[in-house]
Amino acid sequence: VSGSAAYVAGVGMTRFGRFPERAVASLGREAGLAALRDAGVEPSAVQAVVCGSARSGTLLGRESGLGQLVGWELGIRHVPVHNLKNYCASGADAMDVGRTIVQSGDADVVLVLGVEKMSQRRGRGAALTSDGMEVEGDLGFSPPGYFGLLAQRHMAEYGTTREQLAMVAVKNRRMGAMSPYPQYRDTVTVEDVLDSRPMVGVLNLLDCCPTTDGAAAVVLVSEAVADRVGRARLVRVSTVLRSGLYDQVKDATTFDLDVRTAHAAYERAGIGPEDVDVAEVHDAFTIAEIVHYEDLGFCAKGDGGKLVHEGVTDLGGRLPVSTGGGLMSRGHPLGATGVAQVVEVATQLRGEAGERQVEGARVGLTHVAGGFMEGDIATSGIAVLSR
Amino acid sequence: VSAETFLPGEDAREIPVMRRSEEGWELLGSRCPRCGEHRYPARVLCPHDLSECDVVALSPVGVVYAAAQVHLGPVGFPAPYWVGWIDLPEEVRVYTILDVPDGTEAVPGDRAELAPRVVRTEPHEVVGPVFRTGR
Repeated sequence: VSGSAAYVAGVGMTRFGRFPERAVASLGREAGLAALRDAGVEPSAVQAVVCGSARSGTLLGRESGLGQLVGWELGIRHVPVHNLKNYCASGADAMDVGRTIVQSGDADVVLVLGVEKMSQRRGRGAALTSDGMEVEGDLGFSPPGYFGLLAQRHMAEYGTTREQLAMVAVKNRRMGAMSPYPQYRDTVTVEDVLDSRPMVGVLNLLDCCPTTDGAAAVVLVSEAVADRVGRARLVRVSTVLRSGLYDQVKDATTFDLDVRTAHAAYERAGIGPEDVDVAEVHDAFTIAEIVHYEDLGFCAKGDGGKLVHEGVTDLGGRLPVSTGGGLMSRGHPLGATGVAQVVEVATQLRGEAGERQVEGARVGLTHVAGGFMEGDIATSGIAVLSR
Repeated sequence: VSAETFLPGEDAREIPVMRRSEEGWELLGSRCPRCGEHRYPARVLCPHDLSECDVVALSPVGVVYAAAQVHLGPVGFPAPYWVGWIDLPEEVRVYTILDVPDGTEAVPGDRAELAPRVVRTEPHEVVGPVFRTGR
């Protein structure tokens, strides 16, 4: 890694939700335009586009070229455009590639996009995030099933309670109600979660994130640009992306891939988990957020349930997590999530998060766990942001 | 397997997850001839030393690592049904559907025995490596 840095100069996103009447181009255009305007960058200044989207082929019949489509909408032409597909981590992948391009010196201004439209859906009801699980797919596998099994082990081994799982949803829905962007902007109670429709094992409907349409965008700029325009509103960003470990018999209450990726991310950023002031993690399921606390080093192994129970990760706690509502509230437009997380954390570090602002936040982290492969998570993507 | 019946992931995997022997269905894994590591589903090359692996029958009896009842499943899988992870003596973990006797629940530590059956019929019939649980 070179000594130079990449900086977030502008952020933008659509409201997330279900918008079957909106074209995917419209979602991408709105997010991209907002990010360009926030950064004060003209389309002609953009020197590369990176676009993450996981399911545009299956769902929309547009497998290739979403980056070109959104770029065309925004008047960006004759630049390198990279289209990335990497499960739920497609947006995190786009951030990693964008950061790499900026640090390589190939481009000083890069537009990073995450775009997904899921309300338009062929093959309704089939599990959407299980590429790499062809055998399991014929055996009734779904992501909730995986996390239902994981929840059983975590509760048995560490005494994590059903109520603690519910508290993740309650917390994230409450913070989501303070943001203009989430799909769900109402709150829920522990009782609501416990009384919602059973899904798999102990997990109920309100333990699971919804499927969602939405787009998010980030303008990344180089050290040279930062020197020229000043760093007053810039947020420094470093990223790490890693593929799975594929171990066979393992402790299913931890993702060793995330543990190792977090180590690499902290090392690259020159910080430790104790320095993190605010975080967005991949809370696709309530139990997942609890496991991510542990794997990212926010607490000791097994203490994740206590962390949410004691309010440590709530607004006003030592380390608020999912201030943007997380996947629980914001929803999960697969390829957009990793970029939307960066939008939220950058907004926090700029002190512009309004009612949900984490006072004095200087260091933030985003985390996505994407896809499955041979029983393991297929991708881990972590970004560390700082002022 | 007849022309109309498939094994799980058959169109995507080079090595099938089961084969029929004189005694019935066998669960297949791979074994590296150099390091001895088993994998399920079977791999062509050992991920550690890239040796060409042997295809071997795995033990039909294992232990439940985790189990959960599915109340709302994907299309083609009418709920409720059980899924779980079974640990086999070869140190492989098998995700599959479980047959849990009426009036019981599957919990970690339960014995589990291979008992293949048809697991789905649409869009085509699939015979899966179902495990039957018990104490």
